[in-house]
Formats: sequence, C-alpha cells, structure tokens
Amino acid sequence: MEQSAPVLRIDGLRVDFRMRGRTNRAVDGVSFALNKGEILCIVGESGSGKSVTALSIMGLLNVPPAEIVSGEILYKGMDLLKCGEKEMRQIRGGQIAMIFQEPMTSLNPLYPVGKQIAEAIRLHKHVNAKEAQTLAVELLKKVGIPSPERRIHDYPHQMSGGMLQRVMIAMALSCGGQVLIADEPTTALDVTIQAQILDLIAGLKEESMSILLITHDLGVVAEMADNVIVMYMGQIMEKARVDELFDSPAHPYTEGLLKSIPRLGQNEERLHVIPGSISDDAPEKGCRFYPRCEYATEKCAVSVPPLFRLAKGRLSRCWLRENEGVAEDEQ
Amino acid sequence: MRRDGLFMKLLRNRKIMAGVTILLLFTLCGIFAPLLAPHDPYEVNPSIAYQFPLAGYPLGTDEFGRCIFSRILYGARLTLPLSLLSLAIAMVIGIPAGLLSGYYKPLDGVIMRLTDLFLAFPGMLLAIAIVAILGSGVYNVTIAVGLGTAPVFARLVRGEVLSLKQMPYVEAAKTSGASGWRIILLHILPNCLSTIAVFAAMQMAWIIMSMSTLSFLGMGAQAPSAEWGAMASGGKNYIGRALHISAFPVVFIFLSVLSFNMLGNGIRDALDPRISDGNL
Repeated sequence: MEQSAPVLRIDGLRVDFRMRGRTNRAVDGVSFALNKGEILCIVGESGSGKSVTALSIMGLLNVPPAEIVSGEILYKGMDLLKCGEKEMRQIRGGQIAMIFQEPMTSLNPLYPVGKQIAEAIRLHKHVNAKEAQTLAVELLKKVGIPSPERRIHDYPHQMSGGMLQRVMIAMALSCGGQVLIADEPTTALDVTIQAQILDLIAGLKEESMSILLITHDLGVVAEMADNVIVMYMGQIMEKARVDELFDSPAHPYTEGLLKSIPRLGQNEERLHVIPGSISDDAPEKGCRFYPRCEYATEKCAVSVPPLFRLAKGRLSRCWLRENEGVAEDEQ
Repeated sequence: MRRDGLFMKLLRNRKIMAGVTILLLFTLCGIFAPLLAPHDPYEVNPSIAYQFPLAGYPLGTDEFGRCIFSRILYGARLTLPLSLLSLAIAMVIGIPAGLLSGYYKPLDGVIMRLTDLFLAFPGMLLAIAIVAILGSGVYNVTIAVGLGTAPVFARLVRGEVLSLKQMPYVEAAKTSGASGWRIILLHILPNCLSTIAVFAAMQMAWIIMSMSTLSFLGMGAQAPSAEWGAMASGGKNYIGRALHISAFPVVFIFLSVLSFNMLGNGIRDALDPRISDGNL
C-alpha cells in the first residue's frame, strides 16, 4: 500500500531534555513516514519517547527543558520545525489534530461541549456562531452521539468518558484535518468503550485520514495498525507491517513484548517478563536494549546497531539481523 | 440548573447570609444616609459635646457635639465605596500580572521579583510609604492600599495559572490551534474565578482595616470628614471621658471587616465539596 508522497515525514528527530545540568535524550534519531489513509502505531513502554515524538510534531514541547537538537518534520513537504508560532497555530487543529489519553479532563469543565467544538471550528473556519453550532451538531452525530441537538448543551461532567472521547474526536475532525495523532486514546476507557472508540478511529481511515496511534496496548495494535513502530529508550527498535510483527518479530525486544501477552488457554504459573527495567540513562555504548536482552553478544555491548532494512518497510535495530539486510542509518 | 444549585448552596450558607445581611444593611445606610440621619453630620453644637447616647442622638455626640450616628451613616458612603475602589485597583493590576507571569515563563522572573520587592515590606508600612510619596488624602490612601494589595493578587493568580496550565484541556486547546491570549481568557481565567472571589472577599477585610488605620493615623480622610477611621482618631484623646466617641466607629469597622471575612469563608466552604452542605 505504498503511495507516492507521505503526508507526514519525520527525519532524524532528536529531542533532549535538560534538567539541572543533566541532559537526557528522549528521542534519538527517529525517522518514519505516515502515508495517506494509513494507521501507524507507535508502541513502547513509558519513557520510550512516543509522546515526545507526538508533541514535537505538534510543536508543543516545553522549550526549555526540551530542545529539538536536530531533525526535520515534514508535513506535505513543509518543515514544521521551521514554522513560526502563527503558522503552527493554523496547522494545529486545522491540518493535524490530536486527541489525548484523558478525555475526562481534556475539556474545559466550564463550558458546554457544543460550545467548545464550535470554538475549535471558528479558530480555523470563517463561520458565525450559529453555523459553527450546526456544524458541531453534525460532527457529534458523525462520531455517534445520540440526540446531538440536546447533547451539545451538556457540560463535560454530564457525559461519560467514552462520550467525551467522542467529543474530542469530533473536535479533532472539526476542521477537516488530514492527520490525527491519538496519544493513548483508549487507555482511560473500559474495554467495551475502547472497542467503540477504536471502531470510530478505524472509520476515519476510510475517509483517507492518516492516523498516528500511540499506545502501549499490543491488542490495540493488532486490531488497528497497518504498520507498527516499536520504540525503546528514544530509538526505533523495529518497524514492520502489523502481521509480520506479530508472526515473526525481528527484534528481541519485540519478541519479549509479544511473549509477555497473556493468552487464553495457556496455563503457566507466571507470565513472561523482560528482565530488568527501562533505566534513566542509556548505556554509554552499545545497544540500548543490551542490558536486558537474552541474545546479547559481546558486539552488542560495544557498538550501537544501526537500523537494518530487512525488506521493504521492515527495519530492525539488532546485530542478529546484520546479515539479513543493509544498514539504514549509521550513527 | 447547575447555576441554580450553586446559588442555592451559597444562600443556604449561614456565614454568607450573615455577611451579606450586614453589608447590605451598611450599603443601604450609606445610600439613604440623608433620609436616615437625624442630624447634619457636620453640624457643630458645643453645648452638647461628649454626650452619651440620649434622645435624638442615638449614639451620642462627639467632642464638637456632632451626632455620631449621623456621622457613621455618612461614613458608610466613604468607607465602603473607597474600599471597593481600592480592591478594584488591586485586581486590575494584580490579576493580569499574575496571568502573564504564570503563563509566559520569560515574564515570570521579572513580575515575580517585582512582587517580591513589594511583599518584602509589611503591607501597612508599604501603604504608608506610598502615601508619603503621593501625599495624604482619602484617594491617595485608596490608591496606596490598592497598590499594596496588587502583588498579593498577582501571587495568588500566578499560582493558579501554573497549575491550570498543566490541565489537559489547556493542552487540548493548544492542539486545536488556540492562541495564548485565547487560552488565558477563555480557559484559564474563568477557572481561577472562584478562587479569586474568595480571596477578594478576604482581602476586602484587610483593605477596610488598612484604610481605617491610615485615616486613624491622620493620612487618609482629614479632620471634619465623617470617615470611620478618622472619627475613631478624633475621639482618641477623650477615651477616658467619652469612650463612645471612638468606640462606635470602631464597632462599625469591626462589623464590616467581620462580615467580609465571613463572606469569604462562607464562599470558600460552599465551593469546597469536602465540607458537606448545611453545617456551619
């Protein structure tokens, strides 16, 4: 499903956080492309740089302490990192929209939801308050809220988490943006509501929206993704099509993650765990995952593996795959 | 519906009701002073000076034989509006400074060092210093107390903004392309309002105190003027002979301070869900 020009392309993004004289690299050389009508999932544990990547795209990192050291974020060929605040405001919401993990607190408790959607519309479209209100009703209908004409007058506390996430999605859709960044959109919701919200997001793909879905739930990945990026400590460890990733993971970290999923009918005493835990400091040299890897060799301890291109759209940052592909990026 | 609920909750609070009742009474006294006052507040009558309450003079007479009750009624016309004006000055300067300081990090250092500078002096001393620069007089005292209170508001609002800025809905507003100003006015300020309301009521008590104190010290309202602080000051030399000359104005200062304090406390309790309804 490769298409000519990707909607969003990130190239060699590096983000540092400076705190009290210490520098932590939260994102280290991340590159990927998001195509039209694609759902790209980024998975990784907390602190792997998923959300920082998303906030970099939106230009919403707090600078300082964060600093984008290098890299390009190209939206339809335009480098967002070089855009001024005013241009970025047009892009946020107008072209690239974002939804968050906590729908309960993502809306201002003081205003009815309809008013908040209408405000978002009027930031980017020249319509009057009444037209915006009508558009808000249509949007709520589209995201599956029953009797939207009445519901637009509800305050956020009168709605459930699932409904609020629908409202957030309606706001994200309000200006006909092309890209939706969803940062763990279902984490705070219970399972049945999760499925409904995911269905809704999957439906947007049919309208050729491109979706960047950030999650740590591999179940969500399996259900939603076209392509998957696995991140660990700020680096891409593996990129693959979703079926390939689950059938034959090409990186020990991915393998470890897949093994940790509990399966029905499997009666083991304990679940598999990846030994150790993610640490604050990257190893000074060698592979980031080396200290926790069961296949670690001496080489892994000394030099950082590049991303090896195993096939089209299939990358792995592991020395074990050295002979199967060509190095994509050298560090 | 939600609004009615909150309004009813405020009405049901006894502290609020007590505070509001007294203040309403004082306000009416001020407005209808010419109708209610039995005498001209400035009419001097040496033959009946230092009188304790007697017929026609409900609160007695002062050292010049003026009707204290009439003077107190007219005094409400000075004290309450000027205190409100002072509060307005404090809020008009303090709230925007706090909003800017909390929201825009580069401004934070400058504005907060300035407030530090003001807050380093005790409030009263600061007000006295400002009056010394501006000269004495009721309006200058009003300005001085207002300026002295502004940094406290800046501090309070800044703190609120710093925490509200972290709310996901502010982040969400940014991702939908809202500008800084829009976020401050539409999302942050309205969410600080309840805190500001409580604080303003409490500050009113302090402002009335300070203004009366400054008048008592002779920096505010001048001699014949029927201002409560100045009246207390006028009677201070005769405390041994005629305590009531100072005492009655002080009681009114005390009551207005008390009622603003109760109002502030009451609003805070009513807005705080942890304190259950009805009691207190």
